[in-house]
Amino acid sequence: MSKTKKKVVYAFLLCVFLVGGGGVYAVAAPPIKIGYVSSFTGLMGEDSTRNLHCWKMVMEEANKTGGLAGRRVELIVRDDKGVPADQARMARDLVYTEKVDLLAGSHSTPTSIAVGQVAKELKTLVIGYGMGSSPVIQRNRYFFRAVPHFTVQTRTMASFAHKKGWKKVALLNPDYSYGHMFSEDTGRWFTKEPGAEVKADLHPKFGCLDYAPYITKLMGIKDLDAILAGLWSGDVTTFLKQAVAYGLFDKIHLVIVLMMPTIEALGKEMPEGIYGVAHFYPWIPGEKVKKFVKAYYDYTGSDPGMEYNGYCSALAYAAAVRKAGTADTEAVINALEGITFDTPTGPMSIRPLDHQGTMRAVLGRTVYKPEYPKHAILEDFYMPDPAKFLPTKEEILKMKPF
Amino acid sequence: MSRRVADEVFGEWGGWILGVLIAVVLPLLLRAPARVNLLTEVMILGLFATAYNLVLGYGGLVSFGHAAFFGLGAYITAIFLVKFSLPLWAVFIVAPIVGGLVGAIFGFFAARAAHLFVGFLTLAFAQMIWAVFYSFPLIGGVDGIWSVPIGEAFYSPITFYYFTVGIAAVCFLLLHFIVRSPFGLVLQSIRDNRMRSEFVGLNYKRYRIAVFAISAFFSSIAGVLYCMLNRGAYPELLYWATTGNALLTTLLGGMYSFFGPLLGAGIMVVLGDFFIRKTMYWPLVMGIMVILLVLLLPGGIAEWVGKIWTYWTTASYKRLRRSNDVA
Amino acid sequence: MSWGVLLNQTFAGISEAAILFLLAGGFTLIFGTLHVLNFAHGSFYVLGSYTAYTVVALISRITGNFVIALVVAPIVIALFGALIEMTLFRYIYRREFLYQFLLTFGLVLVLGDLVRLIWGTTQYSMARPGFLSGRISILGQPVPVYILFSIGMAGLVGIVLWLVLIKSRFGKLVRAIQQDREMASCLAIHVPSICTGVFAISCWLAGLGGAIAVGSQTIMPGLEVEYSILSFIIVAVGGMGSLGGAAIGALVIGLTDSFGVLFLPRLTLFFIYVVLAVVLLTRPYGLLGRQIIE
Repeated sequence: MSKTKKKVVYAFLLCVFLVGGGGVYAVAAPPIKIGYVSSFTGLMGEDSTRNLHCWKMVMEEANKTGGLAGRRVELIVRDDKGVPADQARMARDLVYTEKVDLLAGSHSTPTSIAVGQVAKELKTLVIGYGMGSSPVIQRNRYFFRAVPHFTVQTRTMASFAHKKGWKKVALLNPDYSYGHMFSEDTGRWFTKEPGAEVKADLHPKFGCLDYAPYITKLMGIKDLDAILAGLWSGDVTTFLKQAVAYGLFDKIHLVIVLMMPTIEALGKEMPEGIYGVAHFYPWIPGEKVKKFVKAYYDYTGSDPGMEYNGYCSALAYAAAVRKAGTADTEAVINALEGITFDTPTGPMSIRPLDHQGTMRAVLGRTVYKPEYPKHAILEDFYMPDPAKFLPTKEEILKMKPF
Repeated sequence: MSRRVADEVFGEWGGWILGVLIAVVLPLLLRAPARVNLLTEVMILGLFATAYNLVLGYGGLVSFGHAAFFGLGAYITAIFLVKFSLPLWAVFIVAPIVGGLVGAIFGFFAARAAHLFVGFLTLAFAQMIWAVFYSFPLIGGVDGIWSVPIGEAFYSPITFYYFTVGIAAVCFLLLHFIVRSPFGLVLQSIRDNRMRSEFVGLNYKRYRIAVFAISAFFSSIAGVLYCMLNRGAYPELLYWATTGNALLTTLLGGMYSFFGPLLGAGIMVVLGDFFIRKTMYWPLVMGIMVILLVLLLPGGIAEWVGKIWTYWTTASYKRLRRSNDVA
Repeated sequence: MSWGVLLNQTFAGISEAAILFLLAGGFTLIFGTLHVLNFAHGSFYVLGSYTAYTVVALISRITGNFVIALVVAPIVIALFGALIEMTLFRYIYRREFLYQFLLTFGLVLVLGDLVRLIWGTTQYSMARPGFLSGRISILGQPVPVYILFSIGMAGLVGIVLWLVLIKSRFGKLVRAIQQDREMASCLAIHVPSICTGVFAISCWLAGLGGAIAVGSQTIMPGLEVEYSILSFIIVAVGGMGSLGGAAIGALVIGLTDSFGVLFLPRLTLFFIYVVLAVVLLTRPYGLLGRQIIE
């Protein structure tokens, strides 16, 4: 090829490159990136996966109508195997390399704390998830959570016990920070009623495989009305299996934090007539609830439970970005504080006081219905207004951060 | 005397300077500053593994309790800074000393034990310590101790990296000095033939106690740094799997060379990070790699590298000689 | 503390010991015969749990599915174990302990992920059959039938195993290999295939233990490491290479765990390791152990 021809070709290519590249850059606004770091390994793996589904659902829905603030939303997923160091490292990595606008996911207490620290240092917004992260939030401008402090659950349980007229209860919670805080709050709220007594405060170690000592101890307490339990995840399944074998619930009532994985795993082994509490069950009444449950079922093939927290987190973020009109961190934070947005269970807000949501707790009784052949469901729901159960400013200030 | 010391420490001064230069320059070659923490982890794990190798490669003892020293270093940092608000430099003095003392205790009990039982005993003792920290919420419990205030200056990953390199370099120098010193040589002779060394009048028990104490001293420093990196200490650091990790790192890099463990640390951390980002089934990949390593490459990467290096230099030498002869 | 609670604790402790015996029995067999510390032993236990659950779930319509699962699952694990032995373990018998540890460590990672690959991270629960679900009254205390079943099964298996080892020809060959492997191979005993057999039996025991255990526990991933170290503790305390030692060690650990929760819950874990350390220092080969290792 002659020299001039070469020059022409190069110039042409250069123009194409500039125009094309520039055009691409100009036409499509960069997507909003959400970094989802959680542990997909081990015990928390299933919860993480299900929460991720909810985020995907919300963001795909948003993308269908042009995205948030005019930009498409992208999810980048990382597995931190539950190691806080890795969670922090991946979070930093996502912020520096991928320039994410939001960090979502995170789960157990240590990983929540790890990512909270990153949020503070790098001034990145985090919408966390998981019970244990509450105390982190009060000291951290960048950390939000759609789920309220566990006081909503503990106080719902306690007020339900009041309603039933139970006077003597026992507390059963795992032996670590969350379990101790849970039992302390449940006990305190329950004993507000005159004549109400906590007869035992038991703390089996987290991951305990043999509840026999606790079961026999509970059975030995005279005139025990009920057990209020804040056991977690797989422990609930193990406890229920063993307790049923001993006949613990023949004479004693049980109110326990009960999640979908346990309900599905136990199947027909679940005893009828015990009370389960959570923030969401797919059988609570409401048209919007039914729609959401169906959408989730179509998307994943199972019923939603605790991942509703993730769903509301995603809705909160979407609403905040829409309100702020931008994904810029400071603007979104300002929008999030005090925002009220719509969810399948009604309007929900994020409190500026502690950056947490105002989701109510839901308590129901287990029963078997022919429409659900595989496992028990809950009915007769007690869903008190959470307003008086949310922690006050004084209570928050008294809580120690981790 | 001073000249000998200088020889021993700076004998390969070229290599040391090169190493330090690389360590200093590396972060600047990274695409993203966040990755610096990866390098910091390499340094910390490398220090831990090198300290571990003092007992394994040079002492000839398989210890399963080193997590105790590492974890104690981390927990002392956390407790001092969070519960007692003591200054950081106090941690750097107390933690290694405590670690060293605990190491001496381990060494004392391991001293008389037969080969395999060194591992069992150190495992039992380390697990005892783990059980205590796991079970009592006062010292952290299941969750551990978090939000450790390490000082504003260290929040920047780059600053902390250089800090770690500084501390690690000093530790490596000291360890290298120890290994090349008469103490280190005696250690190796005990490793090679214990009976003979006894005939020569060496008290192998004292040496075992000493090597455990020294190794523990430096392992604790690594633990302190790790706590600073994560701003937290948690029970898994005391669990035997952490020792297993150090063992694997050492064997991967090669236990018969001084820098083998550091090389192993580099590979472990970098490869680990790579696999975690690529696949959800990274334990499967790691497990297969470990199995292949055992079956095919018992001397670790360092031995493989060493073999290639030897071959290459020998071949070059032969070529040189031949060409000289011809000319 | 009523004596009723104490009685129940004893039963609970013995039933825990029963499962631990099955687990540790396999571990001690491998250690005594093949001189390998199989850190992946807990993985076979976990695989046994999942396999039993799958069998029960697959044939849930058939009555007696639980019994079938208890028969089938351990056999599957045994065959799988034999496969692992023939492909991997063969190469490390002569190698140093270090490499044995590493290989089994790698195996733990692989098998753990294998479980995740096949069954995911979902929780499962294996339903007990009706006839094992109730409770009977012993001295006025409700005792779940399943606890008695676990104890009975473990006892039965233990007796059969002991008889096989002492009386049968296979048992004689195994004991010969335990005493002197080289000599045994000189005597025209085909050592490799017997070793495979022993490994298979060990995995069978682990699988059975896992299968029975999950009648009263959740099935979750990630427990294999805990069970591996437990089997090591039991064998180190009770006696390495000795089946009776495995039983004793299991009882010690099971009862300590059970009563520890009643009296000093936070110190139980610590206490177990203290027991291990004390035994290692005073009777290094375990309470009933013989000198196997140099």
